[in-house]
Amino acid sequence: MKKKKWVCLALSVMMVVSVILSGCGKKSDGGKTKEGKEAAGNELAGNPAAEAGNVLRYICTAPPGVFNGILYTATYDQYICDMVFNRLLNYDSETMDFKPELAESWEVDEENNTVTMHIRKGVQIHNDLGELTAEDVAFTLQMLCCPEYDGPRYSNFANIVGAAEYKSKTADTITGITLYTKAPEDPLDVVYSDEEEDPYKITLEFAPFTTSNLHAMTGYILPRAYYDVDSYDEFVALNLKPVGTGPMVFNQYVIDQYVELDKNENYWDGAPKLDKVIYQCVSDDARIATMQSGAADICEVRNVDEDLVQIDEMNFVTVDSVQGNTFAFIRFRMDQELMQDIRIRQALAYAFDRAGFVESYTGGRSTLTYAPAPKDAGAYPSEDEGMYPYDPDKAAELLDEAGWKLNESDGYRYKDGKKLTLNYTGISENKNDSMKTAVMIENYKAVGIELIATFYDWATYMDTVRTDDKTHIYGYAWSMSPDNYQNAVLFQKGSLLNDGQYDNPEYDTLLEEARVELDVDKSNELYKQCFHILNEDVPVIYMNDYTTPWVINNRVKNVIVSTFLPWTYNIKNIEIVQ
Amino acid sequence: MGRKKKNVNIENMSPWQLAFRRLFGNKLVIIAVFVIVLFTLLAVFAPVISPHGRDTIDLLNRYQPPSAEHWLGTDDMGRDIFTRLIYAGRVSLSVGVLSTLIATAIGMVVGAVAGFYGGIVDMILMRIADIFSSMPFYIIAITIMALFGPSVAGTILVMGVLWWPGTAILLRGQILSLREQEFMEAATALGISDFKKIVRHLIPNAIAPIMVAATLNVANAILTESALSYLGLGIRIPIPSWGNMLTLAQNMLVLKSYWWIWMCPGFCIFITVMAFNFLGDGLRDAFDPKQDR
Amino acid sequence: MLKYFVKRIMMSILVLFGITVIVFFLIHWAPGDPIQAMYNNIPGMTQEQIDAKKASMGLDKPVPVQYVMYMKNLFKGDLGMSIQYNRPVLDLIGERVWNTFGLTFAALLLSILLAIPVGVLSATKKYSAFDYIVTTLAFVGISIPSFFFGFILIKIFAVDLGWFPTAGMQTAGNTFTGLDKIMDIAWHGALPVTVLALINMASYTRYVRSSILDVIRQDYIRTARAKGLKEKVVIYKHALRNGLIPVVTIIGSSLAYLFSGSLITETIFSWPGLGKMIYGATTARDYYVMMGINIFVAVLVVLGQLLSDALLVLVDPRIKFK
Repeated sequence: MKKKKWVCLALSVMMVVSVILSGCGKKSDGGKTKEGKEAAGNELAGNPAAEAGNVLRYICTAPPGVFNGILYTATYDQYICDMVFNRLLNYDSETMDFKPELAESWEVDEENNTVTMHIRKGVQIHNDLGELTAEDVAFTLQMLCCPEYDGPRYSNFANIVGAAEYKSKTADTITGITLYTKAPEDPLDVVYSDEEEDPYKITLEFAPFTTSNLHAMTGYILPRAYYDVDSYDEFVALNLKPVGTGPMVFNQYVIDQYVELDKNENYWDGAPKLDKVIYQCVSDDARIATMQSGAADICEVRNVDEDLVQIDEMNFVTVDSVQGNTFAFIRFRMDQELMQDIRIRQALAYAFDRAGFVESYTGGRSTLTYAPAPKDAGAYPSEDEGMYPYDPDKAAELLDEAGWKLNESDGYRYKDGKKLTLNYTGISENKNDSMKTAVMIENYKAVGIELIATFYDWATYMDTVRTDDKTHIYGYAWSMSPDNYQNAVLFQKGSLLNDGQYDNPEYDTLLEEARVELDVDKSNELYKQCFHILNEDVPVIYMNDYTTPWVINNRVKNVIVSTFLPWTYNIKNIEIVQ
Repeated sequence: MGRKKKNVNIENMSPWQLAFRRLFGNKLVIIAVFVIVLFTLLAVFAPVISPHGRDTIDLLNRYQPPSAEHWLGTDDMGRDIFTRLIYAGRVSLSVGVLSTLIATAIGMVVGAVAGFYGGIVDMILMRIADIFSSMPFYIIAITIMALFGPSVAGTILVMGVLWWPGTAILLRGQILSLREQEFMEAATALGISDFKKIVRHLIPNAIAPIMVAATLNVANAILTESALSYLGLGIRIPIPSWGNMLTLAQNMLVLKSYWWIWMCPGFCIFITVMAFNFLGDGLRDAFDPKQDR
Repeated sequence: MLKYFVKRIMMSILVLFGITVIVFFLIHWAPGDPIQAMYNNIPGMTQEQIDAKKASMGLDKPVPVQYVMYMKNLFKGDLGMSIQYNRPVLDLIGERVWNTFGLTFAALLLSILLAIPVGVLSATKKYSAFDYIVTTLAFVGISIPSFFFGFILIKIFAVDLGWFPTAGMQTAGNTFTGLDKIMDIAWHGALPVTVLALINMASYTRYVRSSILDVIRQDYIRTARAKGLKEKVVIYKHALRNGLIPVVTIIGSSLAYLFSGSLITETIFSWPGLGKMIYGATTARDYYVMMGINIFVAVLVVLGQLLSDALLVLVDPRIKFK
């Protein structure tokens, strides 16, 4: 009896182990690839997605479902908005210059701080809701400035004349917005001018006009015919049923599963080539497996290191890498006594082998940055500005100078009997943060600094880094904007984004000058000076930018992926080889 | 399990001695105890055993297969897996044991008081126990972990604070039946204080099922720690736990090609949890020979 | 009997009330703030805008005041608005709850259907090879982390063999109707249901087996055997009925465990249920969604307990509650 039991036990354990072992066999060759080789010559041979039809399937995390061009906050929602709505202006994907979209042309009057837009004629709203005119632009702006609006985009237009008064309900009209028609029966709260009738013309007056305002004009326009409802609650209730003028018409969102969009046959720029776009919700870890099975056509690579190895094994996809718009850095809480000593800040920059970390962590796919701006931007400082290379000796020297003496017995530095201990606060979801701190702890220990890292989830982290009295250093990642001001504002006194409490009047003055400077070259020069100050003052140590690889099934053509633009940018021209 | 009585005079042995005899007559229990002791020793002497540092990162040697230098290979940050594994044993075992101790302690106090005093006290305490046992564990755990931040202490506390009702209800039931027995009447007649009655007389008589429950609880706690770590709420790297080491398997490439990264922590969890389950079952059989399983 | 159940229901309401108090204060006590988490990293947001948003959601009031407001609305059947999605919590739960229910019940049903015959067989054929294999596998089942089991299944059956999809609940953009639709969902649900069911089955089998073993030793079974009844009749007519009574109670209480445990399975398989939503809601500190799901699941748990009591009465006429 007992023998039998042991045999059974051994058997069962073996079964389990063999199941586990089969989990680590070499890659499966999958009959599909073999077929592919036999039928070489056909472009789609061996492509598991060959039979998927004229439908583009994108996979990503589930969108929150705020499909409203002026309310969305998540990038995932923006992808849907970008297909359903049109922007007033758009960026050129190569040069990032402004190019016309709904606004056919525009004139900036620097003297009077006004912009006049001429809206394209013949733009049809989805579901036969009529033609889009300047009134819809005015409506969108009015929604942005209305007292109930609680989305994130009001500040982009807060300097329209009369907007602040309208927002605070002290005025009934936004005096800085002018339409050139007779006031209709249900007029908007804007100025109707009778000087010359032109339903496609709108003038905006700012105080003062800045380049940021022009960038803000790349926002989406909501058609009044659909969105002008009785209350703000009803307006918000339309989030799951967006209607716009864009190349794709919203069909449905099956919550947490997929979003379905159909082609807009009446698109003003010609009907798109795709019949449908499906945004499929899949967790990060399942992405590559889904691409591999042919159930998806395009996705952004998340776990770059591990995923790319697997993508190499797929012969039916292309990887298109672009400079990502995110960059990582480490900030100092300048209101902490220890961090006020510039020598400590410099020592922290010297003592951490950032280049080495970035090189090995990203496998050479990205490099250190030296400013809060994309490397190809006009405002990016020249590389020889590249400061604080890895130099532990220099760091030790600076710390000695600052009075922190090495205690030979435990290897840490002390001053007045106090150990040099710094607290790092990071985000627990962020793998880069944990890897980075592991290296930092070792590097800093080598020069006698004790670094204690604590990780919180996002919501707690956001609370902690700004208010607690513990944090000295914290990790951060930032999505850069093509508008330099939105990046530089991270260090402006009074900005909510300046959690490091950096306070340098010289920086603030320069930044303000740069913001209102409309001449691109001059403003770039000013931003460069701003960034130079940051490098001198070290309120921040820059880490790396990211390269974002996109995996695209070979049956899909004409996708444009770029640093600042959503992947849907060229959706109208995307084609599927059948 | 086909236990046969041997020719030993068992008549003058105490019930405890009998239970121990039965317990160690069970070979699975011996293996289980051996596994637990082995992992505990490895964990305790971790710094002596391994030449590598627990968190020493070597980004040039990531995902290295097992070799003479790294017995079980290296992980996604080039850290030595064997070293982390034995340090992780410290964390996982202490999470399992400490959270069980907390839950059992709270449960015993509540259960004893409720069972002994009965009436309104019993009623209130048992409703509180109901509240705690009706709270959806993972959902509450996520909230509490957010409160404490993902940490060893937080993980231990979550399970300790949420898992006590089981023990409380168990002990209460035992005490309710024991309370009415003759020896308690004798104790009352002798004027023994309530506290002494509970601690000296009632709990020792009710301890066996509690020990069984606690042992099984340890197994469950180790599993739960791994699940919490998978959700990103348990133990955070750089502190290793078997659970967070196993979490690396969620990446398909790791699962497919780097078997050494997940196989070892997976094996450790599996073996340890199994050992505690065997021990728990063995204890139950030993204390309750009627229920021959 | 009726009196007992009325009393039980009153108690349950008290328990639910206690849960709302604990959870509400716990959630609000936790560090992190939904509005900050949402708007803090958006350029140009001002503190005034953030404060206004907080005020509009009533988040600027003291927590006890917020609790009273919340409970008032709750009695009107209003679970509040999600901060993150800007939509009523009831809608958000309604959109997902059936997905979770489907997954959980399929797993529950499967595990009961498998566990009972396997457990009974292994108890009646005690010490047979079958019994040992079942016992050992049940041990394996309760000793393996469910997420890990999920990875292995995905790896083998979805990636290598390609038999099942890796994620999701239905084919995106499908136009299936009727049976096709059900088949599509079943195909997607196969792996997650397997994970939940097998791990659950392991513990059920153990219960069934030991419960039947207990019953077989009882006097009336011996009597039945002594009367010369066939072994099959003895087992399936007498032993089974009484042996399954403890199993019924386990099922009632494990419903809650299953429901909350499906969170992990849903995360692994991108299953669009409540589990995934609670995780996101907690990260964003979406207070009312967190409250809503907690209350919802707590109600389920309490109902499950009541149900298992009622079932007990049904299967065992001897039981009389006082």
